[in-house]
Amino acid sequence: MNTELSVNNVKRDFKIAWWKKAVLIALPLLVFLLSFCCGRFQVAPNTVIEILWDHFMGLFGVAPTGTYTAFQESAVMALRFPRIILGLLVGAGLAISGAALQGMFGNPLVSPQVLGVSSGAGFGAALAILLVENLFLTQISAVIMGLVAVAVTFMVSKVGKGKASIYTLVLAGTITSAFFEALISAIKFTADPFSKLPTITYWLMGSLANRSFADVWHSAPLIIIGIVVLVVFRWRINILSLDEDEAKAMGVNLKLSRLIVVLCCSVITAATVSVCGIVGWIGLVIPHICRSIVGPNHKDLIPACIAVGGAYLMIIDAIARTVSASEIPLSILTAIIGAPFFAYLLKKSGGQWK
Amino acid sequence: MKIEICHGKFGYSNERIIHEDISFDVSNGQILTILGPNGIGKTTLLKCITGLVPWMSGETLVDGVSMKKMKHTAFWKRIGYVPQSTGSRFAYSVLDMVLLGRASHMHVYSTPSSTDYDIAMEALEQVGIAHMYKKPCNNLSGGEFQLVMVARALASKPEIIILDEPESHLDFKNQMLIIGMLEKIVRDQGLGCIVNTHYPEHALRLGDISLMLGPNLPYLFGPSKDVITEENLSKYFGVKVKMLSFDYKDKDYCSIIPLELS
Repeated sequence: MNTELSVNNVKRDFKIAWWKKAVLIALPLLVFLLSFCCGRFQVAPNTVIEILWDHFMGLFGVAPTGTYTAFQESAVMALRFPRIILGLLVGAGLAISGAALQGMFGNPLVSPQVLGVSSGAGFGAALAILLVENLFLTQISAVIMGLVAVAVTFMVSKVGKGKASIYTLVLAGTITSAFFEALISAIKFTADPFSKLPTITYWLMGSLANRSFADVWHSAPLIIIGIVVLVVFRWRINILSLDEDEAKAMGVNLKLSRLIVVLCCSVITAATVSVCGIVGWIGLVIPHICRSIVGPNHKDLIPACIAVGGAYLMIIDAIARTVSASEIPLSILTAIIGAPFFAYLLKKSGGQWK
Repeated sequence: MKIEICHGKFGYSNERIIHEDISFDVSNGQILTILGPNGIGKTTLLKCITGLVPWMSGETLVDGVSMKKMKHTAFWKRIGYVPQSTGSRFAYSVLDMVLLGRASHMHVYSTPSSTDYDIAMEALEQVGIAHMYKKPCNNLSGGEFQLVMVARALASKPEIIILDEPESHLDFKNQMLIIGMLEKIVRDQGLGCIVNTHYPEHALRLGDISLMLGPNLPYLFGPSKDVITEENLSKYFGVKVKMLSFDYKDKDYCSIIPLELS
């Protein structure tokens, strides 16, 4: 083997540049801290750091030392902390699911909505809002119906010749989505137009307003489990993007591998819809942005999606609560910012997602 | 290592039987070429051999052990499979693509180690494109991508490598590149090799043994020189041919000239 191509050199060529890594680590941290300052009521960065520091040290029984008002403290800790954490997790979760599903389907236009999970979970939430007025029950109903929807997708995909190919799965997902969308419309149609209908409509447009730590505890574990499994599994997603026979010939248990990916993405998506409604565009656009930064290898792409996806939704949510007197639904902002950016990417790459 | 097909039978239904009672075997250091007209089921045969498509009856034996009794990963550690190239959907680099061939040797939750990088680079050197390791797969020519797929199969350190028409759609030079590379890896490493091909000349050149399939005809299996004859080619392909042989640098070559439909 000639020296130029020795393994160390080759491996070095395939490492992500240190500055890219630094940016990908610093970005979510910086956005995390700065978004505490944003909102109708602004808090100075140094005050934010004092409050966070005191609360962190408070865990070890150290008395608070900072100088800030009780109002500032409650704005940072009670109002913003839960929604910022959720923004980070939901953004990271949706981006990572999008990347994993795009990889598995070998199609860069796939998003977490493709399996019907979002529509199912949206239906679950709408149904619970219609019947009971309890946020916790709404969340549970959303998660359950989201998973029911993906199960339906799987069953529909097997109706044909018993062999669930990757394309029948996409088709089945579209069918399931359409079905649950219709059910959502039916619920909206029957809902009281002065009380329930607006609640359902706002829910489906996505929002992190008024979320508490209880909401974090209800949804975060599911999202985190899904993310961790996908991170651990990330290199294998490369193999799933190959043709079926090629992937099998790599010695991979294709059925099981696909099931792992689908299950993780479904759990993540259902959990995100349960806590903040349907947030579109993140799962579609963020993986593309990350591919342009770290390349197509899922070994690097998946971690990058956590950083960029998390940062993106934290920024969007900061805008949502800052720019107008009433909160702007998240899906409006993710699309208003996401769609032109996607168009720009399309123009730049000429439609080829390299 | 020896791979044996015992009474293999395959069809899409009982009315549409593609292969009826096929038996043959290949060992290390041997090249088996499979010939036959379009649509006769050459690709299907390879898929049956490797279990990608199940036999209706009969079985594949690896060193006398039925494939059905082997673990999926254990089987694919010993067999390398190069399907007909469809290109890459994502712009993976050449080396990343070849590294995927290491999967059968890795834990489900791990990423490639230095050793894996080492072996992948070695595989790229064997097929002669180590210098391209950084190139994105979808910027390669057809011949180059075919070589990447062969390198990916070699990266799993197989004992037998199975290729589905590796040289179709390629120009003269790339065909020679693939054929030469196959001869070399079989000679240097004692690999066994099963190749589907459209070119009887390539089958003769690669030598050893051949399997010929034809419509409503019994399959032929034996030394390539006995299988690939003027008479058999006109019978199995429906084309009258003339075979001309000559010497070049002390080696026998054979040219097959199609004359007319028979």
